[in-house]
Amino acid sequence: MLEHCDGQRTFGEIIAELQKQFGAADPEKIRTDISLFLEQLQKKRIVDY
Amino acid sequence: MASNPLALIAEVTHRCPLHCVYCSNPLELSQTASELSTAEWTSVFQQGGKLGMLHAHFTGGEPLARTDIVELIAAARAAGLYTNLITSGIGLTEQRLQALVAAGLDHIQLSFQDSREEAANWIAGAKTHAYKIELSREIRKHKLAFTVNLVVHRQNLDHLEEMIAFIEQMNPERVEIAHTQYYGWALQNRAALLPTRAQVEKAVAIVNAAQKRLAGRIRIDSVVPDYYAKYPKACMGGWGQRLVLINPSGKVLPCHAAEIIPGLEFENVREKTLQWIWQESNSFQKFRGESWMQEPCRTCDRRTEDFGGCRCQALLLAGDVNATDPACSLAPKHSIVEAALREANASGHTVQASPSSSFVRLQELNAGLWSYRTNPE
Repeated sequence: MLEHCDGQRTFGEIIAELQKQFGAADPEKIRTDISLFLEQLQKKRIVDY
Repeated sequence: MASNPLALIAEVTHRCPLHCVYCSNPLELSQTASELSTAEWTSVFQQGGKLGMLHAHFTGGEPLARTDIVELIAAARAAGLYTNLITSGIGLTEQRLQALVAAGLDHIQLSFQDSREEAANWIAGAKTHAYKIELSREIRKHKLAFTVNLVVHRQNLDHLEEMIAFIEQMNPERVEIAHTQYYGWALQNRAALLPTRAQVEKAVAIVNAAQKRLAGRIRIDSVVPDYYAKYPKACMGGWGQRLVLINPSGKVLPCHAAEIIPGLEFENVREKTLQWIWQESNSFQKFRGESWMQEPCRTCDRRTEDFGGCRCQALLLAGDVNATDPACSLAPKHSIVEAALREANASGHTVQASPSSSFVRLQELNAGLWSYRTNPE
């Protein structure tokens, strides 16, 4: 997940890539899980987006 | 068998334009002529990367005093390490900062001694405060993680709120508020630096409030002073557990102060590989695990959490490197720390900063209060 955060791709682009990569998983669940994960890292000032 | 080290602390030089009275460098500094070359450091970073290390923390002295700092950062980055420059900022021009960022610098930690110019320059023994403020603006123009470091002690804790507000306007991602730790220069100057209990309690409340207020915007990491804690700090996350420090002349140490331990030989990267030193050397195995422990550590429930505290502090205060860290309330020699605290809480509070035009004059004016860190030959 974090390897996708390269300072170039947008949140939407990363989600789309992950949804494609993990086609078997529920795309909406991917979006909410990743969103929550990044939000927590952002609060700790580890990742900015 | 030890797990892999997480991070490398690269003390690339002991030279420094500042003379901070609480400097964490040893009293016996590495001489300039003995410093590792660019090629030698490059080999160290490559070995570290292969060992599975994640971070390279560049520190000193002042790492910018190395003319090859851009090359060193690039070499660490090429070895797959996250690079962090811990600096006073002195020697960092706009162009050099650009070059460092281009070389792949990930994170910069800029130190401040105080929010008040006169006091900051008095602690640092150098007129550097104004330049640091300018530099903080320059840093924010780059895509670079930014931490501000602030060392707190008896002389500045009374205006901690003001210092946090001062740092806040520089808009870093992170602030490190670290109470002085008493080794080397700081131990020598302890009487002037050790805070009162009232100061520490007030500081804890101020930091808690600031953490709440700035949540999501600025992260505040705070190191509590172990003299006032009930249990000792888990120094370096345990001896030879996570971190490797390499001093300017290539000696490999488990922490900043370990060289003071008599009879313990430390290996040099000029002679041995980092992997061998980490896994096999006597110095890294000496206090790894629990076999060296005495009572009460040996049977204490907390021995896997704090590892008996700091070996160097045990030696410096109790005179026995195997003793329980005297900062621990359960330590047989805890009375040593209690005595220091009684003195700190009985004597007069702070002194007035004495500004001066020259370092020599500043040394003279403050000779009765503390000794400034000097520079290696």
